[in-house]
Amino acid sequence: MEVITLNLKLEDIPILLSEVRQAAQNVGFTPSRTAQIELVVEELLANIFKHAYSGTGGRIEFSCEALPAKKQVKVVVSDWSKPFNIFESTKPDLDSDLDVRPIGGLGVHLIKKLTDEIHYKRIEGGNETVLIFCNKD
Amino acid sequence: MNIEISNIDKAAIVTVQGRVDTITAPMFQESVLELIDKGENIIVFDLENMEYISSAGLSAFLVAAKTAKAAGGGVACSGLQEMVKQVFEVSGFMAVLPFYETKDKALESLK
Repeated sequence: MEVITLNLKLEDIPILLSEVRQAAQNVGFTPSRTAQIELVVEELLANIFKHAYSGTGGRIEFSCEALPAKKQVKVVVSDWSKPFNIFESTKPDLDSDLDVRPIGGLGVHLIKKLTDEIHYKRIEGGNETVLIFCNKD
Repeated sequence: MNIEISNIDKAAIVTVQGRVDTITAPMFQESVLELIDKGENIIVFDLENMEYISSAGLSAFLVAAKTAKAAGGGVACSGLQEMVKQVFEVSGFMAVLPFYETKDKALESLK
């Protein structure tokens, strides 16, 4: 499994997502589910860029693996910033009317809703998030 | 992402093609806000060819809907692809944005 180390910028995200798309296709996910998987990874990377690294970019390690025997795709992303445990985020407002519906705050919600397994651990000086997507068809 | 803007019956039709994501959503939002600023505050988003949306895109749609409403107009959407529909659903957007199967029905709703 190849681990990519890079200084994350927003324009890197589409390149990393093409790896994810290829892995999802290799495991036979539908086009719609493949797009959802891309979305989850985009949200995680954008969150790291905007919040962990305050929009200035920073070092990440990224790997994406197709596991055909298990019909899974596994994505691992590590960053070296302040602690960010996805499980500790608050639930967004999904019910209020247009006038009062807050803008933003949906990225982590989408990650949680559209990922089969999420594992988080604090590593030395950083965070490691593992996302697993299972093809149940 | 490509955006095309046309006019039918005093409504602006904004046809979105491709992906509205972290990179492209700011451009989408800017285009729509410019339109509203010019007085085009009744907008149909034709999303038949929008294949992907992320949370940045959701925020842009919400900003557009709030701004159009505040300007005395409104928005409606038509033609959702499966992925986009699922993302709108899990984000609670079906309750704040009107969705229709066809552009004509979306247009009719804004008259």
